[in-house]
Amino acid sequence: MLLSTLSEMKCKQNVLKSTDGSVEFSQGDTVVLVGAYGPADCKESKQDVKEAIVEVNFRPKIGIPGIAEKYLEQFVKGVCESCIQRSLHPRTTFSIIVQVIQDRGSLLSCAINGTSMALQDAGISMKFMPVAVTVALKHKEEVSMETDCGTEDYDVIFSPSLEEEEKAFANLTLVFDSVKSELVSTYASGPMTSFQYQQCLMSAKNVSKSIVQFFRDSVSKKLAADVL
Amino acid sequence: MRTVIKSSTGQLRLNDKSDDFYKLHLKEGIRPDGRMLMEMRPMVLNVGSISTASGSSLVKVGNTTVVCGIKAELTEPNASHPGKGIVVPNVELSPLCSPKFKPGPPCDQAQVVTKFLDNLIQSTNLICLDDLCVENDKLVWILYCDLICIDYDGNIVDASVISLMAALQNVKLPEVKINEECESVEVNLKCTATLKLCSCPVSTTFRVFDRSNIIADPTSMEEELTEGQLTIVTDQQGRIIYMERPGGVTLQEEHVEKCMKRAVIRGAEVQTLYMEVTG
Repeated sequence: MLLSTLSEMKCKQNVLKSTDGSVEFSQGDTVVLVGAYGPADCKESKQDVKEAIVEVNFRPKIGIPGIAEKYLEQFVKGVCESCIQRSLHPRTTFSIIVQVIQDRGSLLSCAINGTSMALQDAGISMKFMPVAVTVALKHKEEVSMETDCGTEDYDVIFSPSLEEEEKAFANLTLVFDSVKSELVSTYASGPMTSFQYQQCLMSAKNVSKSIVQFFRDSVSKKLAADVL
Repeated sequence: MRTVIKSSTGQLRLNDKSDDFYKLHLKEGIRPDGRMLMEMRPMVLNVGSISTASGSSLVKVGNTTVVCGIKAELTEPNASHPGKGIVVPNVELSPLCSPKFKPGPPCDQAQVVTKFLDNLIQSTNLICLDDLCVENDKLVWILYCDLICIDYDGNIVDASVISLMAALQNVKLPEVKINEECESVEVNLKCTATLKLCSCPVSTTFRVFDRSNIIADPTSMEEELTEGQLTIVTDQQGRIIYMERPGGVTLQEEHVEKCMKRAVIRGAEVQTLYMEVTG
C-alpha cells in the first residue's frame, strides 16, 4: 500500500513553549494538539514503587470531557503504558494532554500518532513508537463483475472520514510497534469474520510502515531546520 | 502465601509473593482457583427478578455479581434522530462491591465499561431503534439500563454484557397510542410486546500473564497481576462484532487467533444459556 491511500498527514513538533514535548498533528482534516510532560513529580498516594505511572487527558473541542473522552483516554493510556520505559523512572508520572482541534473521523489513530510524536519530542525513552492506523470496511456500492469475481465484496478504506465511518459496516483502529511491526492494541467494532480481520491486519501493517517513514521524515526535517 | 498489605491509600495490594505464587501454578498449567488457563467460571443467570422494572436480570460469573434493571419511559426524541428511540446504559461500581472503588462520582473503570456498552449498542445495531419510536418527532421510548455491580471479582465487562443482554430480552413494552382528538397518550398495560433484538452478542475477556500465558475470565486478583486485556465480542453467527485491546504487552497473532476461537465457543455456550432462561 502506498501512502497516497492514506489521508495527508502533517506534523509540527515543539509548538508549545512550556511543555516538555508538544506536537500539532493532523491526519486529513482531523487535527489534534498534544502536550507531554515527564518524568515529573507524582503525588504520594498515586506513586508506584516499581514503575512510572501514565496519565492521559483528553480535551474535546467544546464542552467538558465526558465518557467518550474517558474511553479514548484509557485507550491512549494503555498504548503509552506499553511503549514508555516506565521502569526507568519509578515513583514518577508521565502526563499527556490531547486537545482535539478538529474531528473529521479517525480521531483515535490521529491522537495515538500525535502522542507518539509528542513523546518523541519530549525525549522520553521508549521501547518503540506506537503507530496507529484506522481502517473502515465498506460494502461495495456496485458490484462490478469485471474487476473481481465477487471474492471480496467490500472496500478497505484507510483513515476514513466521519461520513465513511458511519457508512462502513466495520471500523478498526490497529496500533503497531514501530520496531517489529507487532500488534500492540486493537479496537474493532462491527460484524466481521476472522478472515476479514486478518486481511485488515495485513494491509494495515503495510500502511503502518509508511507512517513510520513519515515519522522519520518529519523528525529529520525538524532537526535540519534546527541546524540552520 | 497470599498476603495482603494495605498501602498508604488504604487500597488493598497484593504482595510480590503472590506473583511467584501465581507463576508456580501456571507452570503446572492450572490457576489457584483450580481452573485451567482457558476455563471460564461457572455462571448463574436469572431474569425478571425485579418486578417494578420493565426488564431485569441478575448474573453471577464466579463471584462477580451484576444486577441490571431496565426502565422504559416515554420521551421526546432527539432532534437529530426524530424517528429513533434512545438507549442509555449506565454501570455503577460502588464501594459496596470492592474496596477498590471509592464513594463519589463514577470511577474511570465504571465510565469505561459504560462507554463500552454504549459502543456495543451503537455499533452493532443491537436494538432496532426504529421499533422504539411511537410517533415520529413526537414520542419515543427511552430505555434506561442501569447495571449495578454488587460483588466485584474481576471481569466486569463480560458480566455486564450478559446481564444487559438478558435484561433486554426480558423487556416488555406496553402498547402506546396517541389520541389525536385530545392529544393525550394512552398506554395499554394489558397488551405488551417484547423487544426485538437484531443480534445477541457475548463478550469474552482474556488477560496476559508474563507475555505468553493467556488466561480467560480473570478474577480480581488476576487482574492485578496481569497486564494487557483483550475483549472479544461475538454474535450468534460466530462473527466478531467488537474487539478491544487497549495497550498492554504485544501479543503474537497466533495467540489472538486462539482467543478468537475460544470466544466463539464461549459465545455458543452463553447463547444456549440465554435460550434456556428466556425460553
